Amino acid sequence: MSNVLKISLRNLSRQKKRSFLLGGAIAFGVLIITLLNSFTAGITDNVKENFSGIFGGHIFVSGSVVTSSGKVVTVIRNDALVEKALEPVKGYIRSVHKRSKVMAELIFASRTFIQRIDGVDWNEEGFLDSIPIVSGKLSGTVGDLKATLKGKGGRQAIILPVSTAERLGIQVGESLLARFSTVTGQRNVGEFVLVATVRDQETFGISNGFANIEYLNELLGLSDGEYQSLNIYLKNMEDIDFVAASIYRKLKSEALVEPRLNMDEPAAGKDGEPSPSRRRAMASLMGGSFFGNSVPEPWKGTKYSVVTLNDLLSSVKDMVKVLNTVGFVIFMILLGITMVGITNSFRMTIRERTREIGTMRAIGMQRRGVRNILLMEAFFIALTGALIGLLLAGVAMLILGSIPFGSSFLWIFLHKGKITFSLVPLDVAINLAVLLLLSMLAAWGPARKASRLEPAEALRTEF
Amino acid sequence: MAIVELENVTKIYPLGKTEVVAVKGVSFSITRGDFISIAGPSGSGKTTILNMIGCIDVPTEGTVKIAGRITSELNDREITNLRHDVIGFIFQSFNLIPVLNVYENIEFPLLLGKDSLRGREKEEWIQFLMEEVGLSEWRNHKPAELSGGQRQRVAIARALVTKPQIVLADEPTANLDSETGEAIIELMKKMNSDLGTTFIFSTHDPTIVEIADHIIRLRDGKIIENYRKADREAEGKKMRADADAEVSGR
Repeated sequence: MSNVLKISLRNLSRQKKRSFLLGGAIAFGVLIITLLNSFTAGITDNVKENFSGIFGGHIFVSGSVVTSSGKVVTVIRNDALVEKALEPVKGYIRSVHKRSKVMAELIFASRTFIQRIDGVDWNEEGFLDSIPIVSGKLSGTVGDLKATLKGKGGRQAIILPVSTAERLGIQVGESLLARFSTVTGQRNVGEFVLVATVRDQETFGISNGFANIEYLNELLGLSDGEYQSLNIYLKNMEDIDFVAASIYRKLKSEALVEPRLNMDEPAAGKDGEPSPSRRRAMASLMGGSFFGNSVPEPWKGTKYSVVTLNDLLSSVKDMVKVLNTVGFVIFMILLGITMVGITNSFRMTIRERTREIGTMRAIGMQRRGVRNILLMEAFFIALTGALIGLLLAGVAMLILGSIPFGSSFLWIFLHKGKITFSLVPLDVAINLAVLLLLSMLAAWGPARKASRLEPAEALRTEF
Repeated sequence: MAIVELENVTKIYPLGKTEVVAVKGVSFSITRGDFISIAGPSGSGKTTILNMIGCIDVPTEGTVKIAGRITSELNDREITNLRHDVIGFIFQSFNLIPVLNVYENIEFPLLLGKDSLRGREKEEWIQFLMEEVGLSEWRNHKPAELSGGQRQRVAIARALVTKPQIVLADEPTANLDSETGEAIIELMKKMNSDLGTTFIFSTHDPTIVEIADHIIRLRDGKIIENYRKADREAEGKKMRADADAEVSGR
């Protein structure tokens, strides 16, 4: 075997130009697919991270109760059970925040706009750093805004998406009204002062404003200690589904829980409308109720719901899927061209080395040995090309990752204004395995033909 | 004891829509330890006979028996093993593996066999052969860096490395000048007497033919002469002795 290996490697160095061209083509293919895969994985992570700032968490646990009048109220009154459910996975959790949320009709001058508003604790650590603030009169810097929110102005302060502020025609520093239903279904109005705007995320159908949780709870009619949603940040976003499943199982063992969103279900049905489970998930996150004001089958106590960022970002997933598919198609086309190159190159190699093959067969090399030499050559060309491709991809990632894109509209895809790449080892391993397999498959035909050459005939060949 | 036996061997090659009869009904046997020359002009069937003895070709008719085994009855794996274990090859164009150096080229056949020499024993044996063929100092050189005569010496060492019973050399001097050619044949003769290996070589050079102990002459695929020099000499002596006796009796 070592002999086969030695001859294969030396044959490659003897045909430097051919090996270089084949390996170069393979390196280029690997460079493209690795860049694309890492880019899409990086995009996914960045979009999740950016949205987690807007939504205020990675996993959201909310509760609903049915009042005596048969209305559904979104509220968690006693969080002992939720805390118990978090216990087994606390090692994965970075922080937990209590929030309220409401779909409010914002009124400014004669204009109105429906907007989701999250009640947050302005002092919540890292909150202001996690949302994409656009500079405003009161928020020249995040430092100024923090001072404003912690002072008296914080109670009625509101932060809105830029698009909402533009629709309403409101400027930072001006007051507006918000009209919504309390948890018991009564209408209420609150006055707010716009202190800052955040970048728009409407491309993905999600747009969020922020207000003081204490003030919002008062307007919603929630008592002290009550809240609507427990927002959980994890140390690692890859654990979202696992942790959510654990919390769901734990809650389900002791209380009523809405069925989880079926991730295998298409995001939209044939009519283009979201599926029932997705509607339920969105409703529980948006602060409304899937059931409206009445339920067909009332329940007793709190019915919980566990929703994750992954459940909500199906459009991002679709986009990533498209990018990955395009990348894979490009990879396969490049691979196809390279395979044809390998097959032709090996056919030529065999023509050139017919006498050599005849000699090796004559002095006692079995057919398998001849075949293995050629297969090894294909393997090493592919492996070297792939490793060079990976190396080039690493360099390209470093260069592209250092270019600042400033306040581009692509911010949702970026991390601190820069592209990030996330190398997924499994993807790299699969691509390498496919590449090596196809390269050897491309060389298989010529290698088999070479191994079947009759020694006498091969020795008679004049090349 | 015969190590090679050809019995009524015919070899026909297809050539387009016609056929070429390269060897017609040839029969002969070769004794272990012989130094044999198969002589004849181009197209007389020398290479075809060597290929059949070397188990890289099989006869169309008749049988070729090598070390007691009929080659046409063996499958590819068996015949490859027979070639490896029993036969060594020396080619007209040397046919060394260009990517391997002198040592590695000589070592190559040993790496193909299951029961070949290993470790220090192998090293010593290769070193011995390199010294015998005068190439110890060229150990790390590639074939492209050697002269024709040196390449053929490497080929001789490679042919002998597995300690085969038979070494076949197809026109081993054809690509060499006459002085180098004679030196190569002398080297083969030395190895024949030192190691007891049977050497069978083809040539059309009359001076080289005469170095052999046993000569088989071919023409148009048929044997026209098959004799041992020793027998001829004994016969000559006997004839001379008879003639002398006849003269003295008168």
